[in-house]
Amino acid sequence: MKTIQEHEPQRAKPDTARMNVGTAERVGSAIGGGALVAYGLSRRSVGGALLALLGGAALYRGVTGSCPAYTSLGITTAADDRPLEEQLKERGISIEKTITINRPPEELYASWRSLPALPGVMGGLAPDGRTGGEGSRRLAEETAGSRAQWESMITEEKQNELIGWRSLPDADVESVGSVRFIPCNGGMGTEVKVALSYSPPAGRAGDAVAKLFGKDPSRRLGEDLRRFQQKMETGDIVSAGQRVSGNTGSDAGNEDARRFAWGSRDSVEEASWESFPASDPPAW
Amino acid sequence: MKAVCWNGTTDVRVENVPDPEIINGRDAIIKITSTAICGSDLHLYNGYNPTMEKGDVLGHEFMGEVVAVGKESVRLSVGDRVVIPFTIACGSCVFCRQSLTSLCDNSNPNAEMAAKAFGYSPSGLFGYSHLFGGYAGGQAEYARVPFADVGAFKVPEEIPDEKVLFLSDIFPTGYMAAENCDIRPGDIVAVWGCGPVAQLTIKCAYLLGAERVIAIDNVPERLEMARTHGGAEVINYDEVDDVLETLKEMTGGLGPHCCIDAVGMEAHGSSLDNIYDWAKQTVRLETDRPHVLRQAIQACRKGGRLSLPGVYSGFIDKFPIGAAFNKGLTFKMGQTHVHRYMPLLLDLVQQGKIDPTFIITHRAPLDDAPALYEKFKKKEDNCIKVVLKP
Repeated sequence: MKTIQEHEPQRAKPDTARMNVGTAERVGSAIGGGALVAYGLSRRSVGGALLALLGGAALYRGVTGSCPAYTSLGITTAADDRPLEEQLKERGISIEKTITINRPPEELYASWRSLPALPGVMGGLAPDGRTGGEGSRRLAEETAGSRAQWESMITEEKQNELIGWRSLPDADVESVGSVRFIPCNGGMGTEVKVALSYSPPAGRAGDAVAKLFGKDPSRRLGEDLRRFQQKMETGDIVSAGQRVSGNTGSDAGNEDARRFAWGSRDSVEEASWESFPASDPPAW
Repeated sequence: MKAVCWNGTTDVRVENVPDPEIINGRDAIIKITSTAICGSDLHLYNGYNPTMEKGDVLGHEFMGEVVAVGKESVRLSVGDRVVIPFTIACGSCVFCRQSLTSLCDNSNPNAEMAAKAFGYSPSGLFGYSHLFGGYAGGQAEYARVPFADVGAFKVPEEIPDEKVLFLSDIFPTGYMAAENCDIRPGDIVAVWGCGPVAQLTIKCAYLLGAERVIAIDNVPERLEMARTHGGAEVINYDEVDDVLETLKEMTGGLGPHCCIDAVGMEAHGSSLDNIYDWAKQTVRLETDRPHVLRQAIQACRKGGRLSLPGVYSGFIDKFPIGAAFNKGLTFKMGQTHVHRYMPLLLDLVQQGKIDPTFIITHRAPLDDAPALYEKFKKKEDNCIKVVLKP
């Protein structure tokens, strides 16, 4: 397993240097190309020379496994055995966000580690099955009737410094991510850096993921991180409360004691740690 | 409960809305005893904020009695008499820790939206559009106050509402406006606009050591108030040929040391640049009309200081950066860090050094709010400051 630091965005290697021809095709290409070269040269004519050139190209892609035509068309018939994070860099969506939270790294690390659900960030890690710092957790993220199974496992942990995770092979959403906690602000605060790459699936699961992330995944991640900051700095997720609109309330009675008898009831119904991150993007 | 709701441009109505509820542990519910209409409410009334929604409860200057507290609110009890700062602040983020409470990192639930507009999000505000959080405001019978343990400011029973109501916004705003231009003994301070904030700024400028204050407006009763209550020299810009020349004459040819724009984005005036701004703002090519700001920059003495308590929201054209740069001006601006000033200003009220009630011209029940918005907008009936009693 690669270390998390290597998940950092890096300039993609030039595509031409990559193998994009499958093994069987390479064998066929090499044999056919070699035969064409031999036959073309034996003709000792202009047409023969052209055939030999064509055969040379086929021979080249067979030997090197890299086809310039495939590259320009974006085709690959080679099995991609690169690490998931590299693959997702190329065909998935990669986002990075940093916030500064006015709490020490130990506290943030511990809270992040114990989060029941961070669907926008980690695809959700259920608290069950957490043993020895590694394990797979399952979250069924239910969005408008369709489900995306999004299984993640912790791939790397450094106490108070970083947590890395990736999706399991049978997950509907392929993803890798990491969060790092870097002390700053004279030791009072912490930079929280999240890097996340994921590949949205097709079909119903894809719809669910699209709904989860919205049109702007970077903004969604930003909102999740703000809620994390709010929870850590203030103890609560802030909320403007119920949408107030005119002429929907009753005006019956004005006795404060009766109206606000619930004054000491349990707080945090609409915005809770359990429902974190709770609210939808604002409608505007 | 009854509340003043925004329904569209120049359309506010008193409606029945659901009572507020405790949502977070640090919330409190306030039964409102006094609430005011602010000049900045007129920006919303006039439709200059695109993130207002039909039904939003207006109002951000209010006080009252605590009728319910969340379970984590240890500092407040039912029955406390409190004034509520219009900026909502958590008290624990890096900005609140520096007393920059109008820049609180945590109190705007729509922070991502505001960050798109401004780069980073300021604090949430009561009743001031969804860009600032979409919180229901205080022109209502009740209001929910988030982070009430930090915000709700207890005031003694013996002081009447009207003497402390303005601690919620315009008194601290007037004070910070004066403080922001770093007044030194002997300084001449020019204040554009003679609205409620300006009236209090004039008083605070003298308090902070100004030798002379010159106030500029065109509304006779407001100029009169600045003269009699504030002790300011006044310029009626409709009655002089050239405000800049007049100011120059009045300041020994050097210009005022400090210039305060207490008008903001909806400046009036008949100069060419203001007609240009008005035309562009009308077709939404420019969000703000910065006529006063341009004039203040032009008028300011070399090495002078500008303070902007007047609200700006978006973009302006023809900003005279050359004048500002080449005269070496200093600018300070922003929403008021209300929490920071409340204890000090309450002290001033209790010592009798400032009694802000002189600005109140209209007192009315909540039901009269729509008519008073219109009156305040048109400056009819000598309307300067409206206090509503729910």
